[in-house]
Parts: sequence; C-alpha cells; structure tokens
Amino acid sequence: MPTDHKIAPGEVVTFWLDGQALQARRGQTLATALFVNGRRTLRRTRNAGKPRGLYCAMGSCFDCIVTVNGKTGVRACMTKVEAGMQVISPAQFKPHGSKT
Amino acid sequence: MPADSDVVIIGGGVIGCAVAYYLSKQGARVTVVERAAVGSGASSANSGVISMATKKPGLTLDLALASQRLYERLAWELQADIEYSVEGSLIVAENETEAAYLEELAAAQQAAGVPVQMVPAARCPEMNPLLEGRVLAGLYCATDAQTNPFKVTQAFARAAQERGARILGGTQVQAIETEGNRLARVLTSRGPLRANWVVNAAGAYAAEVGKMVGVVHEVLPRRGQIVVLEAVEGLPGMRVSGAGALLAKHRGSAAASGGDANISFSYTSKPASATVLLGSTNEFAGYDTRTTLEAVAGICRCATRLMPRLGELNALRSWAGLRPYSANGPLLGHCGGPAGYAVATGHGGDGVALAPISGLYLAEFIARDGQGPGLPEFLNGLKTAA
Amino acid sequence: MSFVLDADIAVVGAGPAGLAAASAAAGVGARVVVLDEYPEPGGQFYKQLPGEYAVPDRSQLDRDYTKGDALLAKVRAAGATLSNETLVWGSFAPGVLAVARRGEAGTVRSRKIIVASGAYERPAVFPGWDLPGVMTPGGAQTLAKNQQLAPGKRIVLAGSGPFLLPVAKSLIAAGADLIGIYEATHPREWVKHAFRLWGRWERVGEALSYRRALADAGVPIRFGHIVARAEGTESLQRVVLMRCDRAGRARAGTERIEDADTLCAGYGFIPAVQLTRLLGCEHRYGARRGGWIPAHDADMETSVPGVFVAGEVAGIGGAYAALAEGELAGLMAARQLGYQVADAELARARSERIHHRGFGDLVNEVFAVKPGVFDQVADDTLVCRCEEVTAGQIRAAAVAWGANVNFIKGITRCGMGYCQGRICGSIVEELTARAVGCPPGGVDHFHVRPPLKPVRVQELADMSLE
Repeated sequence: MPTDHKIAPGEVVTFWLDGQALQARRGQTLATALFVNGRRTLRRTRNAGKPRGLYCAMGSCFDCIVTVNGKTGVRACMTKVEAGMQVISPAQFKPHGSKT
Repeated sequence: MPADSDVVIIGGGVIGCAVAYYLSKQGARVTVVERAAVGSGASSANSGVISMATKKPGLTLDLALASQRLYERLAWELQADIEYSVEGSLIVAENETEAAYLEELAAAQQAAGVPVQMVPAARCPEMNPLLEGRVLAGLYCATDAQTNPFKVTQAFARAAQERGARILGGTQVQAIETEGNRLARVLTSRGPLRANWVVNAAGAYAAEVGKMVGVVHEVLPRRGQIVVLEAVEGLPGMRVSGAGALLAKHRGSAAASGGDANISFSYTSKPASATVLLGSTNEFAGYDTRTTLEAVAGICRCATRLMPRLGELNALRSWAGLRPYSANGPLLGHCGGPAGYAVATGHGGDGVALAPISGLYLAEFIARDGQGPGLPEFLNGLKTAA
Repeated sequence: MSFVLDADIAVVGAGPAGLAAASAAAGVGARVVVLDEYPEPGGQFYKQLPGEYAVPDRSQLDRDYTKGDALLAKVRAAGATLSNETLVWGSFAPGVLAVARRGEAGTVRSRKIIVASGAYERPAVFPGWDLPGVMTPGGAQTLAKNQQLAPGKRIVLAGSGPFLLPVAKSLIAAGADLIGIYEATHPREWVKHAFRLWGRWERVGEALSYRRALADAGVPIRFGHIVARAEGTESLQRVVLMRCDRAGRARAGTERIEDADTLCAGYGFIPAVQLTRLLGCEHRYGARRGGWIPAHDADMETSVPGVFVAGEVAGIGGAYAALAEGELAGLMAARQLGYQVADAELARARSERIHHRGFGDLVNEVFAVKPGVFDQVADDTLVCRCEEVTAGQIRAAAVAWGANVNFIKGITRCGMGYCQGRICGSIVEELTARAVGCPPGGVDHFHVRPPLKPVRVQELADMSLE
C-alpha cells in the first residue's frame, strides 16, 4: 500500500521467476517485485537448505541473492526489475566430490 | 618461565606443526614458538593443492609422492576432517612449446612412477567443461589431490598438543644461544627456552632465523596471489592449470626478476566450500602481502581466456601468501649452523603437500640426533617398508 | 574496455556526509566526482525515490525527501558529478580507486579522497534471525520510504536506539500494522544523561513528534525487552520477546509472544570501514562510536595524507554530524588543493561538527548494545549467515586457537562468504573476545581484501593497468 497516494511506481512489466510469469512495476527492486507477488523466500542456503529472504535491503548482507539472466549472486534489493528478466531462486546444492 | 624442551620449533605453520606432531608422537617434549597465530602465514594463504603432475622427477617429486601416501591415511591418523579429496588435475598447453614440454614431462614422470598421461585437446573440455579456450594438449594426473590447509595445520597442531606439545602463539624469537658448539637456548619475548634441538620452520622468514645462528639460508619470500570466486552449483571439480608457469619454473627462469608478477593460470575448485580459487603469481616483492591490480586483473584475464564462462561469476576477494622460495627445493635437516640446529623450510608453493613427509623426516632426523640416513636414503627406506 | 574518471576530489558515498562534502568542495571551485553504489543518490538517510516512480508533487513529500532534493540540487548546481551505481571495490595506488559501474570496469584518479561510506546496521542475533520476514529496521525503512512498500502485515520492531522511532513512523505511514516496539534499554537508564539534552531542543522536539505519531497510531512501546527468538517454518510466524536485566540478559519466565509476519531488529550501526582499511588508514577501537573507526584529525584527515573521512564511517553520530563533517572535509580538501576557503566557513563547520557529535556520542552511550546480548547467544545459534556458521563453532575455535578472528575465519569459514564478514564480523569479534577473556577490540578484525564487494571476473579482467 503506498504511503502517499500521489506516489506510484512505474508501468507494469512482466518478468519470470523459476519459469513462472509474474508482474511488477518499473522502479521496484526485484525484492519488492517478488514480495508483492507473495514471495518472501528468495533462495535456499547452500548447505542446510534454509529459506532466506530480504534482510538488510541496502546491499550489505547478500542474503537476497538470486540468479538473474544467468548471472549468479545478484542482490534482489539492489536490482530493479526489468521486462523479461529471468530470475532463478537458488537452491541448496552439494558441491562436486562431496561425501553425499 | 617456560620449562625446558627437547625441541623448540620456530614457526607454527603447517610445517612447524607437522614437525611438532611427529616429534611428540615419538615422545619428545616439544615447544612451538609462533610469532602470530598458528597457521597465520603462508599456511592459510594457499590453495591446498597436493599435485604430482606439477613436479619434474627429482627429490621434490619423491618427497611429494611419499607425502601423499601419508595424506591418504592422515585424517584417520590425526582423527580430524582435513577435507582431503582426490579430484585429479589437468595441465593444459596453449602453444606448441608448452605441448612439447608436457610430452617430455609426462614421459619423465611416468618413468618416475607418477600415473600421468597425455590427453588430446578434444578430451580436455570433457574433463573440465569450463575449458572452452584453445588448448593443444593436456597432461592428466588422476591421483592429484587437495586438502584444506587451515584444517591440516590445525589438525597437526591439535594432535601435537594432545601428545604434550606446547604451542606459544604471539611469541617472538629474539636470539638463539649456543654453549660450546651446541645449541642451547632460544630467547623469546616470553622468556628463554632451553632445548637440545631447534627446528627453523619459519617459512618465508627462515633466513632471518638463520642469521641468529650465523647461517645463510637461501630462502626468499615469493608472493602468490589468488582470486576467490563465489560458490555456485555445478562447477567441475577437475583442477586445471596452464603449462606456461610450469615450463618457466622447470626451466629455471621463474620469477627471476623483481617486480614481474609471472602470472599463470590455475583453476582449483574446493569441494567443501564449493568456491573456486583462481591463481596465481610468482613474484618477489619482499614481505608485502597485499594483492596488486596487475595480478588480480591478469589472473582474471588468463581465466577468461581459457574458461570464458568464469567471466560471469563474482570474484569475492583476493589474497596473497608468501611462499618460502628456495632455488634448490626444500631445506630439510642439517643445513649449516651449530649442532642441534635443523631446518624445515624452502617448500615454495608445496608446504601443505610436503608437510607430512617433512615432519616425519625431521622427527627421524632428530631422534637419531642428526646421525641418521640422508633424505634420499630415508625416502628409499619408506618405499621398501611400504 | 574500461573507463577513467579524473577529479580533484573523489567522494565515496552519496549520503548526507558525501553530498555535503561534494557541495562544499565543488562550491569553492574544486572538480568533484561522487561515487555511489546505489541507483539513486541520497544514501540510507535520504532514501530518494526510484526515478521510475511517478511523483506528481515533490513539495508534498516527507521532509527527508525534500531535504535530500535540496542538497542534491546544491551539489548539482555547484558542478559536482554524481556517478551512481558505481562500486568502489579497490585501491592499488595512492589517489586511484578501482570501480565497477553497471558492469563496466573503471578507474577514478583524484588528488584527494573523501570517504563517506556510511554505516550498516548492527544485527541482533537470536535463534531464527535468518528466517524470511526478519530484517533490519533500516531495511524495513528502505522498503517503506524508497519502495513505498510496507514490509509486512503485522510488524514487531525491536532492538535499541532512537533510530527505531523514525523507522516506526515510516512503517506506519506505509500502512503497516506495527504491533509493538520493544526497546532493550529502560528510560530509568537514560535519566542520568538527561541534563546533556539541554540546548538540543530541535532533537528533543523530533523525538516528541515521533512519540506523538506512535501514540496516534496506538503503537505500544515496551522498554527493557529483547527478542528471545523468532519462530516459523518457511517464514516468520511468531516473535518471542523477554524482559531483560540491565546487562541485557533475558529474565526467565518473562516470555511474551507476538504473532507477526515481520520482525525488524537491530542495535544501531557499525561504521563501514572496509575502504578506509584498504586505503591503509590507521584505525582505533571506539566503543562509543560504534567499534573500529579510522583515526582522523580535527579537520577529518586520516593518517593517510589526502584521505579524509566524514559522517558515520568516522564513528556513528547521526545525519547532522555527517552534514557538518562532510562540509568540513570538503572545505579542507579543497583548501589543501589551493581553492579559496574562508576561515569563518571552516570555523563554523568545525563548531557544528563538535555540537552534533556531542549529541551522537550521548545517544551511542545511552543505547550501547549490552554485553548480555552476546553472552546469551546459544551455541546452536547461527552467526555467519553466508557460510552458515554457529556461535558454538566460533567459540570452540576461539578457545582452541586464541584471539585472532582471522584464523577462526579460516577454520570455520565465518566471514568468508559474499558479505565478507560485514554482518557477522562484529558478532565474531564479541564472541571471540568473551571466549578468550579480552576486551572487544583486542581480538583483531577480519582482514579486508579487494574486491570490497563482489565484482564479476570479466570486470576485473577488463581493468586497465595504467
């Protein structure tokens, strides 16, 4: 809900999260764009697979990192949504050669 | 005041801690004197690679082979997870000269018992799919391994402590005193330490310690810089390095001139953390451990030339370690100075790889009060025993 | 392949201190470039709206926006260049900064550097602080003010310090249901300092206006409380709060449960000293200024000649102190370069700086994070979010290997992830100091290595070497 009815984000754009089409508005960060679509969990941690979301929202903590157009480690709080963006939410993974 | 010891080890890096472990295991009373913290020097600034493929036949290779046999059961022996894993490694040639050299090296290594083989250019990207740059041939060694250098150092230190060794961190060595022609005491910032033996395991600082007993050790700090990449899913495990640096090193022209960074390519993926270490440099820049733009940019240029897709990844940090460079390979045992003075340094970039064998040999050397077999005979003896 | 910017003065950071520095220095004729990582200038204080947002009438905006607008207008009018989305990630030669801007590598050469890199929030650590829905107060305010988004439906605000009040106001304005503010200190702890507020009526007035806004919205403030834990499966569902004693330790049997989808918790700020460390400035530990800070003289020059600091990086002190220090640093840097600066101007900036620092120090003292906060972090509580390292792992390493956080980092991997220890660093220092029984500041600090924040390998490869 906007704080001031006079202020409004830009025009509607469509972007993709894990293959699903979502809508957001220009000027919104990816973190906001995902939040307004009901997505608070932005990724899962590498080792324990724990859900993580937005924490510092100012580019310091890197907890909100997602993969954008093939680029890994992109901060959702610092990246504005663009039409056609392909966003992938990182999952838990086992590195190569690890013991199960 | 610290009590007497049989052996005082100067330097709490991976070498000093390994020496402390094998000595303590034999029942010696050991004190390690470390000016900062255990493992805070080169032991925590290297990629933890244990490679046979990068060595030409000779004493260093023999040491490395013997050391790797110790590594195979080290986790069990030290009761610690040291993240030892065999990933294999591939050295790639980017031009005809390098390719010819790899052929030559492979033949010599095979003769020395190293399981290496040449692989054609087309096979290289299959072994590490990131390799999309132009390569002419590769030298593959299936047994090359890696470990976590912090954990190896810590495991040796802890195992030594459990066997009674003392580790004095934050302690400076000020002087080494002799009585007659025999070593007697080490003066430290925490008081004097009486000992029958002193082991100089001060790494890149070994020459300074040598001066205290009037010996010149030809050991220089050689800086190696590394760029660390983010941990992402699906990166190949096969270590890849460029033949260029090897060729220069084996032909004796490596880092001869000051200021030249001698940038070479290596890709090392760490299985426990999923990060990638890109290296490296061989430079003589004194004791400066800062990284340089020339090296960071140069390493990244080498990387994107051979592995263009790495360009998309985030670099998280860069760091540098000071490897104890010795033109003639490691200095182990008696290298001048009074009776009771031994050295274990000059391992260059192979300190972690050679730590177990260096520790084992020094323990043997001191147990026989310096009268035992020389290093080649010792290694032969191990081979026969195995 | 890579771009080069030349200037008399490079200002790093476009918050109050950086903009004030730029305005002052450019105002007397210096060529100034302001380097800032964010898409919009203004920093974490002004939190300017995204350029894509429609704002029919800027004069109707909240005064932080309009003040920011006014300062930015001054900076532009003075002729300074604003370079947004520009990360300063390294420095390999005096007066040269390595930067990355929108995927492009670059070099900034200047004769003076003013570091106004600000601060980040001191995290509150408790079980569940990594759950989605738990965030920092400043982060929540950013969503509210910059993004015009309420970060949740039912919000609890916790931690310590006066910063919680403007955050609360922003959240209420964004339409959130703020169900309570839990402040770790108790007003009776403030009383002995009350006389120091004499003469600072504008600040007292601000505080009262925030209290009025909270009262109008019916938001209760409960003092002497801390977050015991945050609970939920996929995201936050409940916050458990407890009363605490003066040392900040929870009192058994005082649990209070709030059903909430969002918890904003923090204990003030930590100076962002990564760049000043990289530049080789001497640092000292100042508990009253937020931890490690670059040493500097009365005119904001650090131990490295030609490198100045201003604002939160020089010690937590608030926006007014930042504005004064920015002006002072800007004027001094320009004067050293031969630009005409009136003595009266400098004198005024110096005295304003001292006045506002006095208030900042008072606030830091009253709302200092309490020691019990660290003592009660349970061993299984996560400390390093990036590498998933617990308090117990850090304590065990500290006990075994002594008071050097860098070796603890090597053993446990805490601080080795994307954030490079920004979030866990202060906690690792505190836990280590307590484990080995030495004062905070006596356990070393994480080494700072370039790049200061992640940079693509391709951008590093593209760096020009001249």
